[in-house]
Amino acid sequence: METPSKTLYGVYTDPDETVAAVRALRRDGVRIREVYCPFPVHGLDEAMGYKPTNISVSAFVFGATGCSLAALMIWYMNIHDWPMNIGGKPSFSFAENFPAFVPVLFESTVLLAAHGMIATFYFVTKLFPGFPPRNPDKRSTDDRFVMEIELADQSLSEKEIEELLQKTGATEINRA
Amino acid sequence: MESPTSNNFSFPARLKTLSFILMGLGLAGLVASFLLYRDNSQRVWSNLLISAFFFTGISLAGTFFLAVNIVGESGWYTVLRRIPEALGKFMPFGLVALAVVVITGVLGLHKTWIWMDKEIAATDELIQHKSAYLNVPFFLIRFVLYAVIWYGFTLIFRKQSLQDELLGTLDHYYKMRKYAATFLVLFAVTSSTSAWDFLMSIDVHWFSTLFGWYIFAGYWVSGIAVMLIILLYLKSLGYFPQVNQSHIHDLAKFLFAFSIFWTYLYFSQFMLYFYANIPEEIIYFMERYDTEYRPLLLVMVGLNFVLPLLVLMTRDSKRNAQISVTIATLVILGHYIDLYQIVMPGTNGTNFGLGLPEISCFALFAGLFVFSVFKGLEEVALVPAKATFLDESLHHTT
Repeated sequence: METPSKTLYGVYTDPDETVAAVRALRRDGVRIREVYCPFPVHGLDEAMGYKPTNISVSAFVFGATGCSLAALMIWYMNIHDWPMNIGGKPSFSFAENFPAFVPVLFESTVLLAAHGMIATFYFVTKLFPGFPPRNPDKRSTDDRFVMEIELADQSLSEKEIEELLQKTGATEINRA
Repeated sequence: MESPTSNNFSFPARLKTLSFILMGLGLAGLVASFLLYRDNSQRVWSNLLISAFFFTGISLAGTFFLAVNIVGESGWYTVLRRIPEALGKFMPFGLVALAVVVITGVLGLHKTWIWMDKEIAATDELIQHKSAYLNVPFFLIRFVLYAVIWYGFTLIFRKQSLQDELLGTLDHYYKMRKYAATFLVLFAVTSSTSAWDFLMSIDVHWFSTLFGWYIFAGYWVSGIAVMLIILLYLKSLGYFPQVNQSHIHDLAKFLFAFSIFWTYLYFSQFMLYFYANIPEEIIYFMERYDTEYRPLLLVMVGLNFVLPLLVLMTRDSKRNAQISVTIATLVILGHYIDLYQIVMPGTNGTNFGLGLPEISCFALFAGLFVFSVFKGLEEVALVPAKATFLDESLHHTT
């Protein structure tokens, strides 16, 4: 006897259809665990009811850190430890030579903001390298959109959900 | 009166009155300033040049906006494309005003471009070296070329756009794409050379290869700010129910991004001169930093860079109508001050201030601009009915 399935996978072929399906299923009270897509789909986050991300806060914090660290580094290297005559202006002051430092400040701000953001994203989503992949269907990295529904704690029965998936255009329904 | 939710815009009577008051007061103020500043009319002429160039630039930004979006095959802007099209309605007035300043300059009524003066040119070796480019006939030819190219393509885009929405086929869209690509190539050249002609040749001994892009970035970001203000104003009146938060967010993103782009160009130009520290080059910035112009320069950088950077950084503020309109207004003011500190030191020395010429020139052109643009919006339906990409635009989400 086969064990009762715990998860349903609705496979779609079109991003707009997927978003519409997510909306329809959620309207009927189905809780969707995850949708796996080959590329970012506009409007899917909103359809899934996700809160807007706060990752920009981490970008700002990392950017500000990068800017401050670069300022400290420049001050130590070019002003304090080995005073530099910058552009024929031997003022040896950070403020008066400030324009010459802006490119370095800018670049390290971008460097830390970008890398910090990626690191934060990996940390939050547990996607860092070496972690076992959790993708249920490899085709979702190519041309399929896979909707994952856990059957526990659903108000609708398995059959009803299956009908909904079919009605919204799922080309196949898999189980696990 | 039509219902505010209709697709046909009707010019609100109060705004129309305001634009007439601005024009009337501006014109009266302009005449009064010429009488008041009889001995030193240069300050009035400089202000005329600043206002005429500023608003022509905003008008041109509308045409450029259309061209970029057509070439980029973008769809999101279709629902609001009447606004950049309407900006072009001011262009003939701006070009006529520029022509007046140019012709009076050629006739020697003012000394905005001192290289036009034969006596000065005769004793100035640097002007003589530049005379192959900076001479009156070629200057006039270039001016006519700018007028023909800029206004010609503005008219073409408008015409094609109106036909495009009638047919609902791709024919005019493909035509527009060819025109837009041609315009972009011509504009790449004319935006740079026009900035050299009208503004950089004021300080005729000084030159900067970045100058054209820096001026372009200034009116491009002002144009986006104006589009954002018009869009949110019309939306507050109940028009454009199809425009959603994402369209507004995208325009505000442009405002944010191109404020930083402007700063990038301004700073790139400044830093090289700062670093090299060659007297004949750095004098341009000394005239603006080591004189009474310093507050203007600092306020300008604050309004054009620091303010949009810090305030428009978050998603929420870009989607908030009040915040984005406030920032857009301040950015427009900032770029006007920017243009003011470009023109004034070379033409008037330190003889400047917030007086009648400044206020009346700005009022005259602002009134004319508001009147012509909103009159242009009245001409046709606000949302093009069968335009290419309209459907994509209506479903735009970011």
